[in-house]
This record gives sequence, structure tokens and C-alpha cells, in this order.
Amino acid sequence: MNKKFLGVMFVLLLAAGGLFAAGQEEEAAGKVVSLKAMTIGPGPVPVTRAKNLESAAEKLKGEGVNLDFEVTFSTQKFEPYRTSFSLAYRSGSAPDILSEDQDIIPEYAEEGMILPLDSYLNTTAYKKDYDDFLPGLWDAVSWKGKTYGIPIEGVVNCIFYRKDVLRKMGMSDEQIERTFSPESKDFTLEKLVELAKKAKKAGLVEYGFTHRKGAGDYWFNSVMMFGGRFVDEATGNMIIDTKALRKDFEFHKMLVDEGLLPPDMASWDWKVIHKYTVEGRTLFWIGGHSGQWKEYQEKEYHEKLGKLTEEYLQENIGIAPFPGVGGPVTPVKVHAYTIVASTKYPDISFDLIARASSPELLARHAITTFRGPTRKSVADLPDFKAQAYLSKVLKIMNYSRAFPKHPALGVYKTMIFEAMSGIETGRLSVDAAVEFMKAKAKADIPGVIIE
Amino acid sequence: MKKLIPYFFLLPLLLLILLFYIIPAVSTIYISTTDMGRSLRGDLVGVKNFARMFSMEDPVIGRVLINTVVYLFGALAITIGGGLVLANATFSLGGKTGGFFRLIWFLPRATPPVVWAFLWIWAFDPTKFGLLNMIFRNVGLAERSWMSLYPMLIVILANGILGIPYTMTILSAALGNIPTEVVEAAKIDGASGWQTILKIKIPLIWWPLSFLTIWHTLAYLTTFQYILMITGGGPFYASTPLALYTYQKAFQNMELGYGSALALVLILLSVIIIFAFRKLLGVQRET
Repeated sequence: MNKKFLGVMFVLLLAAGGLFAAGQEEEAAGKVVSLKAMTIGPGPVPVTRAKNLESAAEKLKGEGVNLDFEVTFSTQKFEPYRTSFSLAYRSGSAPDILSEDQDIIPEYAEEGMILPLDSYLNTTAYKKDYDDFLPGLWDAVSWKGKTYGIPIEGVVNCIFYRKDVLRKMGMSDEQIERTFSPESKDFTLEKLVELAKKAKKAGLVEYGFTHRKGAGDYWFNSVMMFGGRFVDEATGNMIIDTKALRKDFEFHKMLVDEGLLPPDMASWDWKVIHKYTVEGRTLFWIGGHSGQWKEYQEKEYHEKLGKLTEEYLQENIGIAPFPGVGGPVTPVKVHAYTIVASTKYPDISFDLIARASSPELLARHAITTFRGPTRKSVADLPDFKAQAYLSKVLKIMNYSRAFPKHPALGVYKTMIFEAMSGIETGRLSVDAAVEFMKAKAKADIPGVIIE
Repeated sequence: MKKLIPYFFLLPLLLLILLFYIIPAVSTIYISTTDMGRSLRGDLVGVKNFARMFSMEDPVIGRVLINTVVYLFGALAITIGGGLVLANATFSLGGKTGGFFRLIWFLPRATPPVVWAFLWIWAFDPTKFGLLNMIFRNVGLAERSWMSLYPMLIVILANGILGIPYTMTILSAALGNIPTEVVEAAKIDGASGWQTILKIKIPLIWWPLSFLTIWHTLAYLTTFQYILMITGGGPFYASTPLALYTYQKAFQNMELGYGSALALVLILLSVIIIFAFRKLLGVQRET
């Protein structure tokens, strides 16, 4: 009797499984599949993060998928965007696809809010595409051995230098090229400081260096420049590398003391910061990323010239990696498409983001935003090749170092900024700043390791 | 049945208070006992968040509390003192002239917050493009890093001045209610202008003056939007009061558990200060 009952149950279970599988198939083949995506700028420039998804959706429809696709593009800053996503996720109305920076991936991964994509990425069908991505970028979107996104751009942090000022200092174009070539022995932090001092002394610039205001990625760049570590690979805990931090603090203090860096950059207006770069009032703008090349062509920061042309920028401004203590460093922050864990259609969502990260669409994105492409084959596309500036971006990407990843990075970034603003305004000594970093990290970051 | 009618009219408001104050307040108490972060999910941690604050494990909290007191009393002094002086001055001018000056002093209140903040940012911009630095340069004085040197003073002025129009309007009306014969009698008895203000007028407008003090105390303890826009609380927490720090921890760093604990302490602090002021100013007796 029992055997009979178990047999019937087994047959019923099989039948139910068959029906479920058939239903899923039917869903994908016939029924309308509704997918939603959330993407972000911030600001209007990277709108291709959304447009590429739309193009991919059209492609999928062309392949016979009955798709109803809706994508939103937010020009807000990251915090309200992330709060909207968390609220949507907890209230059961989350999108299926989310575009995000790499720094948040560990947090969402730990909370199970996004899906690991390894089962899709490790297939034979995707292998060719997988291998086409630049080295290190998959690592940027991974956490604890699993990969959570497809990298669609690298925000390339770099130094902008004024060629026109250097020419006025008597340097030929060839000398400038040689000095700022990452391969050159001359490309050191000491050399940049020396040039800044000369330019300031000659009255060619008001300041040698300017950096960003507020808590931003620049504060990681400068720690990286001094060889700082951020995360302990073995435990996954954050590291406060006091040795690198001290060097970083001392460097900025020296710049302020020498009159090469304004003491009050934290209270400068953003427009004024960019005005100083585009008008050549500063020799080195060290707080930016490659995409600002585009911004300077679209916003009127220059009092006389307004929006700058590509020709003006090529003639007067150059880009370079950071001259780190162990060689040039180009800190790269990856932006990626991820799949939200609550999606009903993970397979179709993956098909969509895989198509949205094709070389052609990534080239369109790079050309629109002037940010770094993530796939090698993009460099061979004619549209991309025609962009002289993007070739330079690719060149400095040879010195890429991926941004750190940890849920507490945002907190850490704010701490460095606060300490640095204290040092630069003379409210805090370097020693006191290091002590502040230790105490604040212990209070705010669970499991932190003080080195 | 008739007795129930007032409650019927009060019901919608009570529901709104329940929905937008009581429920969030209870939620805040609960969240303050968790380690909730950006994912909006948290484990219970008991009083850990409060311990972090009261044990001064957070190295900034002491500085933030001092800032809160300095900011509160600085802004209050400008708002109440300035409002009283202007109310008396415009009332003395009387008629259309007094009204005209009151109207001019009302302009800051009619300015949108973002514009008001922008004006202060522009005025104290530390570069050569700042208004004050332009003036200083033109009269042969050295430019200054205003925002770095005097961040607290700037936010006190920006907020304190904005409170003046409201104080001035209420106090002008209160001065208008003082019987003229009382003031005339004081003059006949030989009271000077100062004596009339201190001994006659201020005691007679004590209730509105106390109300305005308490009202603005609450406002300065809990609002921070102008500080956020003008100095961002910096440099190095130099202009960060508790309300702004609570916002930064809860919504910028997304430490919702710790942020909620800070918010509860802020509410508690507000209640204590309000009761202290009520006692000190004798409001209870008057009402």
C-alpha cells in the first residue's frame, strides 16, 4: 500500500515538474515577459547606460522574445538612487536589472539582493565574450569568489595637466609628451611638484594642484598613489593603512604649505573648481576622471570661450595616470549591469545585459561618455578608433588598478575627506588626523584592521 | 452626540499624526536597537548604538554636541535680539514708514531656501570670485578663506537672520497691543527710552517673546538644510550640529541603526531644552 502510494506520489511529482518546466518555457516563448531596469548617471551624460539596454531589448524582440521592457535613467546622485532601490526591493517592486558602481556590489551580494552570474558567464557560449573583457574587470564585480555583474565602463581616474602653461615654461611638445609618458623615468610625484612650483613662481598659475570637494573617489586615488591597502583578502575586512594615509596627509599638507594647493578646496564651488582647470589657473587637476573631457565640451566653465572644442582640449590639456610610489597608477572604478535577485526572469535578464554589453554598444557608450571601454575588441571598431582622446584613455588604462571593494568604503571615503579638510585648513595636524582615522574607523567599521 | 462633533473634526489630523509621526517615531525606536543599513534589514543589537554614542567611542560626538549648543544659542541671539530691535524700531517709526522697513526685512523669508543658501555661498566663497573677497580686493585688503576660518559664524548668521522677519512681525503686533497710556505714563514719570523698553515693553510682550524663543529653539535644534548647503558641516565637523550629523550618519553613510539612535537623543535633548526654557522663561505661569 505504502509502495503504491509512494509510486503515485512520484508520478504526480514528475507530472507537476513537467508542467512547471513547460510553463516556464511557455512564459519565455509565448507570454509577454515584463522586465524593468534602473540605471543611473549621475548627471545626464551616461544616458547610454539606459539606451544600450533599450537597444538590446529591441534586439531580443527581433530574436522572437515577447518582451515588454521599461528602463528608467536617474540623473540623481547615488545615495537617493540606492535608497530608492532598497525601498523597492524590500517592498517587492524592485526592477529586474540594476546598473551600479562596483563599490556597492559586496553590500548587495552579502544581502542576497543581486544574483551571482557565474552559471551564465562560465558557459561555453559566453566564453568568447568573457575573455574579451579587459583583465581585472571581472574581479572588480566579484565578491567572495562569485561574479555579480557585467562591466560596462571603467571610470578612469587621471590627472589633467595644462600643456599651454608648460609651453610657457619653455617646454617643447616633445618634452611635455616625454615627461608625462607613464614609461618615462621623469614621471614622478617629485617632478610634478617641481613643475608646479616653477609655474607658480613664474606667475603662470594661481595654484599648482586642485582636487575635488566632498567625499569622492579622489581620496582613494591618493591613498593608492602611496601604495595603500584597503581590504584584507584573507578575512574580507577593511584595512586602515596608516602608513599610506600618513604619507597622503603629509603630501597634501606640504602642497598647502608651499602654496601649491588652496587650503579651502572643501568649500569651493564645483563650477569654480572646473573653471580653474579649463582656464589654466591651475597646472594639475588631480581630482577628476576621463569623462570630464566630455563635460568641458558641454558646459560653459570657461568665462571667455564657454564650451570648449575638442581641438582646444587636445591642444591645451593632457591626461596622465597618477605617479604612484611603485609606478604609475590609474585607478579604475567599474560600472556594471547586475541582475536583481527577485527577478522572475533571470535567464532573459542575462540575455538582455549580455547583448547590452556587446562591443558595438560599449563603443557607443564610451564615445558618448569618454569613459573607458571594458572590452578589448572595442578598440578595433572604426568609430572608436576615430576618437583620439579615447585612444589616450586606453593607453593610460594599461596602468589600471581596480578600485577597492567593501561595504564600508563609503564611510571610509567620508572619513578621509573630513580628516584631509581638517589638515588642509590647519585645524588638524597630520598626527591628529591619523589618530582620528584610527578612532573613527574602530567606531564606524566593524572588524576593521588597523595597520 | 454634540460633544463628539469636535472629535470628529480632529480625527483627520489625529490620523495624520498617527501615520506620519507616531508610527515613524515607534519605528525609529525599534531601528535604533538594530544594526540596520542600506539593505533596510537589521539584527537586534540592544543598546549598542547608544553605548557607542555615550561612551564617546565615536570620536566626533563630543564636538558635534558642543557645536549644537554654540549654533543654537548663536542663532537664537540673532533671531530674538535682532527681531526685538527691528520690531521696536519699525514700530517707533509707525505707519507706512515702519511698514515699508518691515517689508524690506521680510525679503529673506520670501527667498527660496536654495537661493538664500547660494547667496551666502557666493558672498563667502574663498576664491577671488566670492563677493566679500571682491570687495576686500577692491579696497586693498587681503582675500580670506571665509568658509574655512569662520564656518560656524557663517551658518549662525545665515540661519539667525532668516529667523528675524518672523520674530519681528509677531513682536510688532505684540507691541501694537500695549496700551499707549501705559507707555505715556512711563514717559511722564521720567523713564528714558531704554527704561521704557526694558521695564515696560519687554515685560508686556513677555509671552510672545517666550513663545518665539521656544519655537526657534525647536527649529534650530532640528533643521539643518542651510548648513548642509552652505558648509556641508565642515571643515572637519566645525559646523556640524547634531541634526546634520544624524542626517549624515543615517542617509549619507546609511547607518540607519546608529542614525536612529542619534535622532532619539536629539528628540530627547529638544524636549529637555524646551522644558528648561518653559521653566526659565515662566511660560507656564503665564498660560
